[in-house]
Amino acid sequence: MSESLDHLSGDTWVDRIVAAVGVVARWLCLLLVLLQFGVVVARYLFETGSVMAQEAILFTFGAMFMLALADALKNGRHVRVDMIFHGISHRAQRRIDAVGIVVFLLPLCSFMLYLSVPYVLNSWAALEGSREVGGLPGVFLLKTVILVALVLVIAQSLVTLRRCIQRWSE
Amino acid sequence: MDLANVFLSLFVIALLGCLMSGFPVAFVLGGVSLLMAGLGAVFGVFDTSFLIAMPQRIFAAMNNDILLAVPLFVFMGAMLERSGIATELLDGIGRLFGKRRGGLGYAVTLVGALLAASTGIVGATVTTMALLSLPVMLKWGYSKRLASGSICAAGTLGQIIPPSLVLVLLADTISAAYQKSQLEQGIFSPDTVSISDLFAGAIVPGFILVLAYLTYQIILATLNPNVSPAPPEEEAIDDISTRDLLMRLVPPLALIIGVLGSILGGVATPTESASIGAVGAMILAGFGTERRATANTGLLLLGAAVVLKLFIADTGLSLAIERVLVAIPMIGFLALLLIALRSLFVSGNLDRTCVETARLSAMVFMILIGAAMLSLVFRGFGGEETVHHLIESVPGGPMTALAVVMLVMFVLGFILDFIEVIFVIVPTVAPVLLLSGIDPIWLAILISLNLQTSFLTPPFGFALFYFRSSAPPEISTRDIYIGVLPFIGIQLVVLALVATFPDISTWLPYALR
Repeated sequence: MSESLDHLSGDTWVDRIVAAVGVVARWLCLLLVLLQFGVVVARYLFETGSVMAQEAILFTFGAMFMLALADALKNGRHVRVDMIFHGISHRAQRRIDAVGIVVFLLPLCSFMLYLSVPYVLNSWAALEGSREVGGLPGVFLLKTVILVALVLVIAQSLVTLRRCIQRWSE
Repeated sequence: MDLANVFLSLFVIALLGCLMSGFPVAFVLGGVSLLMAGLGAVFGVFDTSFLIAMPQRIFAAMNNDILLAVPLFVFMGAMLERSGIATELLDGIGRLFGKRRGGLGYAVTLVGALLAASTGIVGATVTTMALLSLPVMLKWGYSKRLASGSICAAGTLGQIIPPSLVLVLLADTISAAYQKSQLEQGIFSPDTVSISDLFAGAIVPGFILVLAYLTYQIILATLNPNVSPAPPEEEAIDDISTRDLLMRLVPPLALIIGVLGSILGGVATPTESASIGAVGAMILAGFGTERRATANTGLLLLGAAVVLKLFIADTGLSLAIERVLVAIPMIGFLALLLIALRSLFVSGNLDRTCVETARLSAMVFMILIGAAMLSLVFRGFGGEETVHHLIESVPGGPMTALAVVMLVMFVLGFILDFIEVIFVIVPTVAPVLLLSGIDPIWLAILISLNLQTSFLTPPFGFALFYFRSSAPPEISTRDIYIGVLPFIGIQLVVLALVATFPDISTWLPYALR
C-alpha cells in the first residue's frame, strides 16, 4: 500500500539529505547493538564497566531514532488509521496528506522547534555534560540532534507538500 | 459544564475525527493537541506554560532506558525474519508435524508463538504465514475457515507472548502510572514494575492461550478429518533427516529461549538480553542454513566463555588469569561475529535489518512524542481530574470501572494500533485504576490480552486486515470472519480466566522477585 504513496519520496535535494541522514541512523542501529553487547560482555565476563560506555549507548539510541524520523516520513512508515484511508483514491490520499501537513505536522513541529531552540542554546551556553561522575561530556551535542531532526522533518514535509500541490487534481 | 470541560469534549471528538482521516497518527495526536491548546488559550481556559516542558519530554524519550530495549528486540526479530530464519522455523516445524492430520495448523500456532519474540508488530507474522503456510494448507485441502482463523489468531500471539513489544511499551507506561498513584497515596519510595515483571506475568496466560488454540485444533482434527487433512499421498515431502531438522530448529529456538530465560531468571536486564539476542541472530543469519555448523560453533564459544566464567569464579584464581582464560573463547567468537557481519553486509541483510529497526523505532518514538504533547495539553485542560471523576463515578466500584475501561480499549483497538493505545489511553486511565488497589502486573496483562482480542475481532481487527491483503481472493472475507470466531471465543475465555483468577498472571512475577 505504501507504494501508492509516491508523493512522499522524491528526488529533490531535501529528499537526498534526508535519505543520507537515514543511512547514518541505520549505522547507529548497528553501533547500538554492538555497544550494548560489548557492555554486557564487559560486565558479566570481565567484571568491568564504565558510565561513559553506558551513556554512549543511550546517546546512540536517542540520536538513532531522532535522525530516522524524517526518513520514516519519507518512506511512509509512520502508522496511519487505515480504515478510510486504505480505500480512497490516490488523489484523495495526497490531498489528505497536504492538509494534514499544513494543519497538524507543520504547526506541531515548528512549535516544538521554537520551544527547543532556547532549550538547546542553554545547553550549549553551559557546554552541558553528563550529570553522572565519569559520564560523557557532549550532552549539548545530543540535544542539538532534536533541532536537526525537527528541521529535517519540516523540510521533508515541505517538499512532500509541494509534490501534493503540484499534483492536486491529477 | 464549564468551558474547560467543553474544550475537553471537543478535544476528544476532534482527535477521533482527525485520526480517522488517515494522516499519520503521531502528528495528528500532537497537532490536534496544539490546535486545541491554542484555541483554549484564546478563550482563556488554557495556560500555555504547560507546553514549556515539551523539549524536556523529547529529551526524556531519547534517554528512556526502559524503551532502549525496543530497538534491540526489533533488531533481533528483524534479523531473524529478514534473513529467512523465521521462514525456516515455519518450514521445519511444519515438517515435524506436517505428516499428521492438522499438523500444519499446529505448526502455524507454535511458530506464531515463537515468532512472538521477533516481530512485535501485528502485521509481520500474519503476512509471513499467509504467504508461506496458507497456500500449502489450501493445497492439502484444509478448510479455508480453519486455515484463516489459525493464521490470524497465531499472528496475534506476538502481542502477549514475551518478549513482545506490547509488554515492553506497557512496562514503561504502567510503571510510570504506578509510581504516580503511589505518590498520590503518600508513598514516597514507590515500588516499580519492570519489563521482566510483565514478561513473567504474560508467560502463564500466553501458555494457556497456545495450549487452548492447539487443543481446539486437535479436537477438530480428530472429530472432522476433512477440515485439516494429512498431506495427500503423492505429495512426497522431500525427506529430511531428523538430525538435519534439529540442526535447523534448535539454534534459533535455543537463542530465543536463552534470551527469555536470562530475563526471567533475573540474570540480565531485558536490554542486555536483547543485545545478546541481536548478536546471536546476526551469527545465525550471517552463516545461513548451509553453514549452520559454523554458526553453532560461534554460539557455543559464547556459551563456553560464560560457563568458563562461572566455573573459574569458584576456583579462586586471580582476576587477571580469569580474564585471560575467558578471553580465549571470546576472541574466537568475535572473529566469527566479524565474518558473519561481513557476509550480512554483502548480502544486504544487515542493511535491511537496520533500515527496519531505525524506521520502526522512529515511528514508535514519534508517537511517544505526539502523545507527550497530548498529555501536556490534556493536563492543561484539567483532563486528569475529569477522567479521575469519571472513573470514580462508575457505579459498582473499581472492578466495574476496570471493565468499562477494558471495553473502551477494546473498541479503540479497532482503530488504533497498540502503540497509540499504550502511549495515550493507558497513562490517562491507569493511575486512577491503580489508586484503587488494582495490581499493576495484572492490569498490564489484562490490557495486552484485551488488545490482542481486539486485533482479532471482525470487522475491524488489524490481523484480519493484514491477512486479507496477503490472502488469495478465493478466500472470502466471510470465511475469515467465521474462521476467527472460535479463536475469539478462546481469547474471551482466557481473558475471563485471568480476570477472575489474577494469580494466573501475578503468581510467577512475584515468585521470581
